Amino acid sequence: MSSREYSVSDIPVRIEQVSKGYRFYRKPIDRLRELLFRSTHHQTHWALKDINISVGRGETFGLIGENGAGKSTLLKLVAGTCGPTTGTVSVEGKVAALLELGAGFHPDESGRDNAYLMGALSGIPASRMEEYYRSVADFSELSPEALERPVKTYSSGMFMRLAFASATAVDPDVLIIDEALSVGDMHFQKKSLDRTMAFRDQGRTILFCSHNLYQVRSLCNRAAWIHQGRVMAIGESEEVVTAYESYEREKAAQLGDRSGELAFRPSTLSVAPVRVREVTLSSEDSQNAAILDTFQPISVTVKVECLQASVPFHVGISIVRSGKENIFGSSTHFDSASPPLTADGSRIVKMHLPKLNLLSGQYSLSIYLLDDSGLQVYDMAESVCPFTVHSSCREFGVTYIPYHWEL
Amino acid sequence: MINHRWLQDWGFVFVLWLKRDLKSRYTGSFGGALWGVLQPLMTVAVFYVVFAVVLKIRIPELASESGYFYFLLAGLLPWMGISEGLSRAVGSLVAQEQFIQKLVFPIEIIPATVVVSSFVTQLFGLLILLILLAAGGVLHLSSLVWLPFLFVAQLVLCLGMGLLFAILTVHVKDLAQLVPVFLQIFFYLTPIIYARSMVPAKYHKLYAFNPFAGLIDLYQSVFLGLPLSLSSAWSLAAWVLIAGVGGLLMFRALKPTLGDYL
Repeated sequence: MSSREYSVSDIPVRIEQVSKGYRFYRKPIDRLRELLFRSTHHQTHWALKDINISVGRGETFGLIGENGAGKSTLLKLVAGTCGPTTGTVSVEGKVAALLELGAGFHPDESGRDNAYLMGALSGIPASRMEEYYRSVADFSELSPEALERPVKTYSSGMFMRLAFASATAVDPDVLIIDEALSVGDMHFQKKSLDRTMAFRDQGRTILFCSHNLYQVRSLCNRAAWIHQGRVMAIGESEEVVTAYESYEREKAAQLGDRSGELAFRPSTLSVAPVRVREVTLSSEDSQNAAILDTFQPISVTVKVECLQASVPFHVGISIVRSGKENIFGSSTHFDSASPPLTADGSRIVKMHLPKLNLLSGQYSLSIYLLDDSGLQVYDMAESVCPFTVHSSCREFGVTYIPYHWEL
Repeated sequence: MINHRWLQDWGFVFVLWLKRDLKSRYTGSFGGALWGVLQPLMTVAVFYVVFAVVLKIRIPELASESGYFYFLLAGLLPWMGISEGLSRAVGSLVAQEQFIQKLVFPIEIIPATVVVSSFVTQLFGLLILLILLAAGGVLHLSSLVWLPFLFVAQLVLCLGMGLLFAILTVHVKDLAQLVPVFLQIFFYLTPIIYARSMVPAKYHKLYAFNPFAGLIDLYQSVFLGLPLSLSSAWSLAAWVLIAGVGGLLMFRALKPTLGDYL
């Protein structure tokens, strides 16, 4: 296990020159030979190489990268479930790791007994267990009757709720989350996100690994992009995510990803309270504009269907090129004066662009329905309403930037 | 690393984990925890019928037929505690692989609870033996003072071996198959269903090489009120040091490698 020091400093998570290698043996007997004779009979796969990351107190730090890049290994090192091969990992204060929700839950045990064990494993002393348990029970919103039942009788949503509640009710100084925020139903997702936000606002340190780049962008102040076990980029989350996105785009282009096929993607959440029903792009002379001219005034109309009345939401609209690259985007929550929208049934939201500063090219729209904090995506329709812009001016590029020469 | 706070925190986890283990072994069955006691008693009954009734084995020191019955229980109950604990401990770390990779806690707890949980079941069996001895009017109260020492010795011995087997099994999976076979061989090599005095004296020295012979012999002597053998005590002390303490130390030495291998 990694050495742990408990002192107070402004950098609670320090990863210095860390490499992590996993050993592979061709035959099982090689492992025994190595163990007994201290000789080398293995090949090493380096999951992480020369990693240096410091996370400051109160920071929310995001980890992004492809599958198998080493993000989870890095989180495991910080959580302490395995030690680095070289280098040092030091973590200060109480750590809560959500590496896998419900790890350690025994199916035959009641919700209560499982929560107790989780609490004890996280260092809750017997004297404070009742208090801890009450907070778990409250947050999980499971009935007292359900909590006495074996967890094998739970639905997956109930299971996740209990697991998330028992992992986070320990009041950690450092919270490690591996893709765990997208659990349970919509209501609970929002609740778990809120709890994570509350930790952030209390100045706790959060280490967060996700494939949801939107969430990394909006939740984290700093981020690192891990690629093949090395840090490719580290810094402001916006910059890092943008760098990663352009890498992904290039990769997609190499793979021959055809962005011409645009379609309404099904909602990510089957129980979203609000949904994008219809998106239309109109100009003054056309209701469903597919071909536009530069500088033409246009408007985007989004019809939102509300499945649950009075759920507050925001609408984000983005103009996209080649299916992924955002050219320009905005959301109703950027305007601090506008309160979240609500509706009963359906509602029309319009965005007017008096002057379309786009030059020649193929574009489309992406629509996002967000919760009242602007962090949780309720529903989205990406790369819809494809349109072509024809430019009659000689300037080139993506967008027209007003300028004048001084000669 | 081991300080008061450490013991307090993880001691609580140990207790909860032990409860879980004891519970999970018997929940869902009609007999419940009763099986923990019924199982060894039924095994004893079989041995009793075969050896005392059919083969008419008598323990030289205990003339009566019921003497063999008590002798059998006094040796078999601790043996079942030992062998059950060890054979379950062997695969315990491998079985909890997922758990070990996702949560941070001293992994000693997993094999240790298995060993202790078998020991707890054994205690219930021994309690019944004491009741039977008392009912038969052959309870030797004075020699029972040695029992706590035997308990501690058994726990250290079994924890050391159990933890070592558990961590070695992570590296060498074959141990999960080998250990139960060895336990079976040792069951017959140890004077449990027969008395040491029935074995030719020239072989008695060999019992020093059996890690369980001394312990079982002392258990039998304590329950039956026979004089304690000094050679058994020495052999037990040596094995507690070698296999018990040695096993615990080797476990600690091997522990850092675990996260990578699972």
